[in-house]
Amino acid sequence: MEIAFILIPLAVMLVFVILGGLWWAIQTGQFEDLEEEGSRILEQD
Amino acid sequence: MLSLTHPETQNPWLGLDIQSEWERFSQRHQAEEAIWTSHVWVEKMHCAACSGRIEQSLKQMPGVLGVYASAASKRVKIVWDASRTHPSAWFQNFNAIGYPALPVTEYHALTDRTREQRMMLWRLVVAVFCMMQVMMYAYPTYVSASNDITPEMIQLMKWASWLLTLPVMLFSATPFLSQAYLSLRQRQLGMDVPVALGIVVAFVMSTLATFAPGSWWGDVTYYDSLTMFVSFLLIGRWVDVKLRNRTAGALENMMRRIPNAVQKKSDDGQWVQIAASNINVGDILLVLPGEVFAADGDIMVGATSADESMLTGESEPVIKHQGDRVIAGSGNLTAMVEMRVEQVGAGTQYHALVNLMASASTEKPGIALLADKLAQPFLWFVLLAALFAVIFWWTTDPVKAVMAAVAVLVVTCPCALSLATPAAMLASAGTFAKGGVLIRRLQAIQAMSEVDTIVFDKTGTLTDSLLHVQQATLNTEAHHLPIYDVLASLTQRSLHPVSKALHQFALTQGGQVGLVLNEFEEIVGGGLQANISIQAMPVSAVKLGNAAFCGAIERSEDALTRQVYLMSGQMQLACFDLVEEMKANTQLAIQQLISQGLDIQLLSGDKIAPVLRLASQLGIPVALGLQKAEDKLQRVQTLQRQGHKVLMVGDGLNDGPVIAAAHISIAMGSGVPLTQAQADMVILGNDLSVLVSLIAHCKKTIFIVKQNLVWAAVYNAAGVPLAIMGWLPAWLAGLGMASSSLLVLVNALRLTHWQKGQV
Repeated sequence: MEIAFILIPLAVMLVFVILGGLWWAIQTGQFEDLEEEGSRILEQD
Repeated sequence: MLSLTHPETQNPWLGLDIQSEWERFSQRHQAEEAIWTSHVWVEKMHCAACSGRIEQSLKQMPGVLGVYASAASKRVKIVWDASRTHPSAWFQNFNAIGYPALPVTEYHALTDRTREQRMMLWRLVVAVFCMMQVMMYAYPTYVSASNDITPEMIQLMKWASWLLTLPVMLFSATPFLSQAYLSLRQRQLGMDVPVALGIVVAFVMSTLATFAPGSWWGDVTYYDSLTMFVSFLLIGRWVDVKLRNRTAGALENMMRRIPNAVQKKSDDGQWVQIAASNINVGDILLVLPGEVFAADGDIMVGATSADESMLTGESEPVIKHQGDRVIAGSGNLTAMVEMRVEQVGAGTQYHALVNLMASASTEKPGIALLADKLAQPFLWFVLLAALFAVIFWWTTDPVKAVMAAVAVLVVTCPCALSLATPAAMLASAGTFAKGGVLIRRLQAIQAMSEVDTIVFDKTGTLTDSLLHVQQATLNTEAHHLPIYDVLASLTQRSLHPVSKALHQFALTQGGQVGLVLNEFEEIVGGGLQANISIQAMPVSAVKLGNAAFCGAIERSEDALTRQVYLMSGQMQLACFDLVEEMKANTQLAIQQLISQGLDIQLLSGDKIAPVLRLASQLGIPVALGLQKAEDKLQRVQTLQRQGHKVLMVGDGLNDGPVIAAAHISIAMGSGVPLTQAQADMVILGNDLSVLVSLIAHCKKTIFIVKQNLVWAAVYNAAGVPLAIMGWLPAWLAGLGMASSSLLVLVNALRLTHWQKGQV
């Protein structure tokens, strides 16, 4: 079980890395319009 | 409050003190020159306590005549006197009390909305993500046997949990903490105070237990409860923001319709791009298909069809030829046109519509006022209950005492109570607006749900205000004359409804305009006269009008129609019978209303015979003709004395006193100038069948409001004793609090579906 002493700090660090990715996603508006993007490919421009 | 003695060095809002600047978010009072009404947007206004504080603080300022804040739409309406105060003064005051405000112009509302939404989502994501990790470290200690995990491992998991809770405390929870701090600094009790107190106490207890275990605070940590509680709170706020965007969205959509820039013809004939705010009367604008008309004006070159559904309720595209009027906010659908601007800004129908909706969204319904009044005593009760829990448990178990108090603080978060009414009413108002029904006061929804008697006006309400030619009798001796050319040319210059009807009729009969008229004259209450020279016509003087005016012999005594004669000298060329026609769907609408058990009455100023005929056609039991405004008023008041709730449906213009006296009034028809309409609600378009489903939806709205209030009350009544007894762990209290708010909001969301014409 000693491996947990390394894994837990690693997991905590990973959390902050993932949060960084989510921050990017939100600030670039990835969640702004969830319906339209899916159907955009079906529309003619 | 900041001093206003040296505003030039301190006040960032000074730029707004120029009239042309404040005009962008304000409207001048109709009668008083110096009185203005402004709308501002306050991002941090979340609850009834906040709006109450803003109103209180601003009302004390000299020159501010009225403040109406709506937490549900985050808007504040301010009525102020330009001779005694300036926008910068009260904007400064907003800053000083901790609620920065922004003027509501379309641009600001849009970007702030997006920013607010992104920020809220980000706080939520951080809280939820960290919560999941903390749960993972909390779970083993709940399920494992006492010696399964080594003390070192438990300590490590506590440290990890503490580290993961930090972002939740320092970032995700800051809206609650900072709001609580602000309201405490104001020596007021805001709704965030108990919440913040609960969060901070739980965090401090857990931190002590992590880094210095063993004293009276024991060694139990609450990071899981804490992060979960913050996450639930944020989910509530997030849904709140989403819902607000959806319901207030109707208003925002309208305000955003006017384009920011337009193509204007410059003096040398070139097209130049100018800002929409710089359009002046007389400018020639180029409008491409797909664009929105930025001002009221007439088409100069080209022809197109326009989508005016948002402004008039008319769902079909309207054909616009050269010379026709197009209105700001309507969409150009088919072709490129040039228009000449006749009306800009506050004078446009579009602007009147936006104002109408804006003032409705800041109006507080009676039930909401009750919630505001209860907020402060309720918060004191919560704090006292928490204090009681601490005292009650302290001697037996200090840890349990503190956590019971935290549970009380958390479980009673009064968001549900304060959201119950405005959320439901705004959801309905937004839905109605999309369906072409505008609400001037939110109280109208409540009044509408109680209606049992409906009084209709006739012309323009049940019947079309347009007349139709039922029968044309031509003089056989005059059949060689171009009668329809004469009729078309003569009526072209007049705006009287009869002239309009006859003009339309002449055109459909093949009549051509273009005859030369000399000495054209319109005699009020009589008719039209002119000199027209045509070969084969005995006398050039032509008259069109009623029998007395033309000197014709009244052909019949049929009171149901109106006769109009066309004379040339003493010779009668033709006689036209005109009738009012019932609107489409009127029959169906009246039948539905009667079958709903509503008492229908028809009061009209028209002659008795046509009123009775219409009533029998529609199956209206009570109908009275020759009713003047005071007769109608008396009748409505009599009904009210008998205990009836009266809805008056009219054209919204002629029956001022009746409309004011009735419990609630509706103005019908696309022809109503919105600026003058006094009615509580305006139904755009001509379809009366909306009325049935409108009443049903208002009833449903009030039902949901009551449901919400009862739910919030029951939940608190049950939650507080449980929390005091220590039977409610902090995380369960958080779950209860969040779900009670969510339930209220989701319940209100049911009101966003409204099928016009269906009960």
